[in-house]
Amino acid sequence: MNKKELSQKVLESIKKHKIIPKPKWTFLLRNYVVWFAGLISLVIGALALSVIIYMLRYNGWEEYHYISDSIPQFILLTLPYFWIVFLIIFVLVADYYIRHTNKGYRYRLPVVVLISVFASVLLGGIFYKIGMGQAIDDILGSRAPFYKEIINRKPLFWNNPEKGYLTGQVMGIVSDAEFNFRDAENVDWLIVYNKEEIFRMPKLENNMKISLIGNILSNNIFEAKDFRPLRPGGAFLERGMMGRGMHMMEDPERKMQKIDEMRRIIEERPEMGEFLKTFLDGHATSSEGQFGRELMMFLERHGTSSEPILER
Amino acid sequence: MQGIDCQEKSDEELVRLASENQSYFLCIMKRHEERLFRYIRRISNFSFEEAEDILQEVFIKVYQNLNSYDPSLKFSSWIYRITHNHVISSFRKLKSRAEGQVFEITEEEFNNISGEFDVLKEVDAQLNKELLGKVLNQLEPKYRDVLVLKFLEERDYKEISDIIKKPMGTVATLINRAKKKMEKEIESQNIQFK
Repeated sequence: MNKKELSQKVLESIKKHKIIPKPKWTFLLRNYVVWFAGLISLVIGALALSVIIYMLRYNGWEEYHYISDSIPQFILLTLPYFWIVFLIIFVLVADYYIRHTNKGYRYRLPVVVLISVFASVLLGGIFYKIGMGQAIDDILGSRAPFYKEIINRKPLFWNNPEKGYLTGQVMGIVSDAEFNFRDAENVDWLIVYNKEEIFRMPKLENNMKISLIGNILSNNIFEAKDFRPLRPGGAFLERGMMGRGMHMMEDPERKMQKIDEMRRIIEERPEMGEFLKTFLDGHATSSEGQFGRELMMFLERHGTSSEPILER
Repeated sequence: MQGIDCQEKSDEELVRLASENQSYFLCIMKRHEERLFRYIRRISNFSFEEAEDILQEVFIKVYQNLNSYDPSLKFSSWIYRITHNHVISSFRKLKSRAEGQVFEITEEEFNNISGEFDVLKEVDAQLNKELLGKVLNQLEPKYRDVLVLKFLEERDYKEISDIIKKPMGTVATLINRAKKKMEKEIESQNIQFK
């Protein structure tokens, strides 16, 4: 090899093509970008873990026998697979970026994975504690397509009235022993219960998402023996129900229109006036289903057919 | 190279100076070109002319990336790393390797490596170097690279780790496996020679 010639050739090429050293900031920037990408991946993985913790925490472990024959089977059915796969992907992505930093190659893959997992668990725990797990599940539940098919199958899983488990939303309080309920399949129920027999009786409110344990009494009437909070999937239930059309009595404007219509009927048919007027004044805040049922019962008690009125 | 005194300056100082004055880069090239050229030929099997072209491209890359040099790393490790990576990417471009090239080993280098393989003691001394060169040529690149760096280029584990960008534990594993493969291959080649 002609030493002089080669070195000189290189220098001449550098001069000819006006090659200059790349500025230092380009290398610093690259390194910061790689570190940042690694950290972001770690944070995303930790957020996924916070959702996993949230979903496992409210997995309904005590009632596993309602949907499976054994704990192992229950675990296989209810594990949040979507989030587990999501977590694994982002731990691996974080590892890739960390190992591509300036000095990251010095650490063996198992060590990097271990550190990533540990950091994800720590961060994930913190995110769960501050409510990120629930917040993410709620946001996806209210907006994400394929939520119940892929992300969280729990809302439909836990809706099996024949087996004694209902999941859904409170649609209206009838009394302190009855309330109207719409389940995850949008079927309306009348729920009856004895609050003296309920352990940990929650304070029931309209639109509350809840699971009920009990048994079917008759057509669309369910006797609740126990109540369970429903947190993972709650936002999805709300979307499902609202998405099928807000019911008349949840829309104040429509409810008032209906009541006005009834008042007009009272004016046109004075013989119905007294009892309908009494009825409307007492039930202006009811939900539609309750309104309809109670109107039927009210009219039956007073020996008057409701059909001509309801057809108008 | 008038007025430039490189003798007393370390590689790290030359890097700093070269980014401002190209003449100092000439010093870097003169200091490292011979062994880099030899290294390129050992890990690539490129012809003399091809290896020269590769080395020129390596030096241009080194010049462009002068500001990326991290002084916490040995300069020789850094420049070997650039060379190693460029040879690999040149392989991918050419998509084939030259055949029939002779693996050049000096007497001293032969003594370095042959001490690791007892099986070589059974081989006729004249055929030793030829056998070693042949077997090294036939090894998978990942094994050949680490053996060349360890026994012919005399790099330690940390330097090899910095050059090929793998953890030191992985380097040790690769060297162990490479030695076993070498022994096996030397034995089978020795039988053929006999």
